[in-house]
Amino acid sequence: MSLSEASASIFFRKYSHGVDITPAITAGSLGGLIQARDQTIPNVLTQLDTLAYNLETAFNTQSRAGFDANGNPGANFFVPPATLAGAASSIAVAISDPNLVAASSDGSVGSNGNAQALANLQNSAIVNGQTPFNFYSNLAFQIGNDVSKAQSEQQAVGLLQQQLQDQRGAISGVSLDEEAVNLIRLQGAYEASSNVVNVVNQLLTTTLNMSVVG
Amino acid sequence: MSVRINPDPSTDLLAAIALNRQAQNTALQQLSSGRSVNQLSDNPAAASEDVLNHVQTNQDTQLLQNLSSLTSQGQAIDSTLNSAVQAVTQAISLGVEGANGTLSNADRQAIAGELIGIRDQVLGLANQTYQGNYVFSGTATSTQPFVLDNAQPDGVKYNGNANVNTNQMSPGQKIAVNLPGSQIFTNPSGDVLGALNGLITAVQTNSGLAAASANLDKAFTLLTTQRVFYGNALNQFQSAQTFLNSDKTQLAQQENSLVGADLATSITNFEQATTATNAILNATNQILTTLNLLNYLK
Repeated sequence: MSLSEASASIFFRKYSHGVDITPAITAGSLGGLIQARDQTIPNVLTQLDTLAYNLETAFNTQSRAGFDANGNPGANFFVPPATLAGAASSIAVAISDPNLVAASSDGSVGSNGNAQALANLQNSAIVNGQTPFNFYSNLAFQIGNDVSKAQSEQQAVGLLQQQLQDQRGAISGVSLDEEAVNLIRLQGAYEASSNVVNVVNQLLTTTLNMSVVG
Repeated sequence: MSVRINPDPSTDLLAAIALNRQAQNTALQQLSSGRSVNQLSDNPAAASEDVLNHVQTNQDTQLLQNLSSLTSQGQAIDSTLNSAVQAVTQAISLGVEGANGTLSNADRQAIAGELIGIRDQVLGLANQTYQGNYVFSGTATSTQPFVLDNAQPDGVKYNGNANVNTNQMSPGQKIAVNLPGSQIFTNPSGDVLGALNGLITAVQTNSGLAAASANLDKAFTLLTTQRVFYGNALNQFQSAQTFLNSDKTQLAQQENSLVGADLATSITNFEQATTATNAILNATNQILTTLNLLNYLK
């Protein structure tokens, strides 16, 4: 069996005669870690990216619809994400001057119309038909549910394993009481056998002595 | 035939000890944090609801901060308009005094001088700033709204705009929070600054005093009417603050019922787990040191 470093550089993939058997490992600790690496965690990351991408895009769109404190058309508030993948980890604010926040809806410095519109995005269905907070709340539920389910399964399997170990121990375990009883019984048999031998020996001795006397 | 049991109970005992240690740790964590949900997996549904609870609480907090700022600004504006009302009241009295036919020209010029002072005072009030922003220029808060301009029919030029800002008072409730200065000080239905300029001219020229005074009375009525807007707004701010504080209290109670730990239950759980652990340890000690037949035969 050969080992090769996997893409995540944390786990190793097992090779048997040059065949990648990673997909076959679906159970045990290793199977759980592989599933977490290849399915569970990427799914959560994708959802986080979806949240970040849609939020950034909607916020930038609304920002461009307003005017900054200098009366200029609003610019992107966030650095526009290139792709959905990695949007969460690369999220960054594009402006550093507070006067460039596009709060105005009419180009005057004191207008708050676009700031209101930006704030209202939190209550708008901009992430897969949900508000950002509802989407995040559902993601939190999903993560918690996944972990809770895994813990329950682990507990159930642990109990099953314990029962099986008990059954195996009941069949193959060594009981000192049983061994002692066996020893006593064997010792009794041994003593009985030795008595038989002793009797036969005495019988032979007696017989031989009778022939000598005769 | 009797059932043969596993002669080695150590794995069962260790598993039972681990289970009770876990129960002890959970109870201790609840007692130290005061929360029954310390990880998402403790209660996913409650944790998810708690996220939305925090969002709503934070929104309420932000709205309260906004309302606090708006209240301070509204009070400053209301105070400014009160000063304007007092100044115009004084101007009305001077207009009545100026209409006295027995006054000499010098007396009228003196009254006109006082009226100019009042006009400048009202002009200054109309150009009032709050934290560096003009409060009567609509949304053009960096632009001085009023300047004297003889080219204008009423002698005053308004450089602000007619736009109005709205603010969210509470979830789903918005109100206008400002009036453009043109509605208050140069409203065609009651032009305060124009009426003051007209009265000054009337006193100086001793002509048209009755009409000028009537115009000022009309402007005064409008000014007091417009001032009511800010009074109403302040009342609404106060109502909204009361509502939001009440909402925050309810949200805190909701959070407590969602993820708060019942300390009595946690203490009971901890004591039960501790008792169970001690019992298992005692049992382990007795089981593992119990005489077997071999020892007995020695």
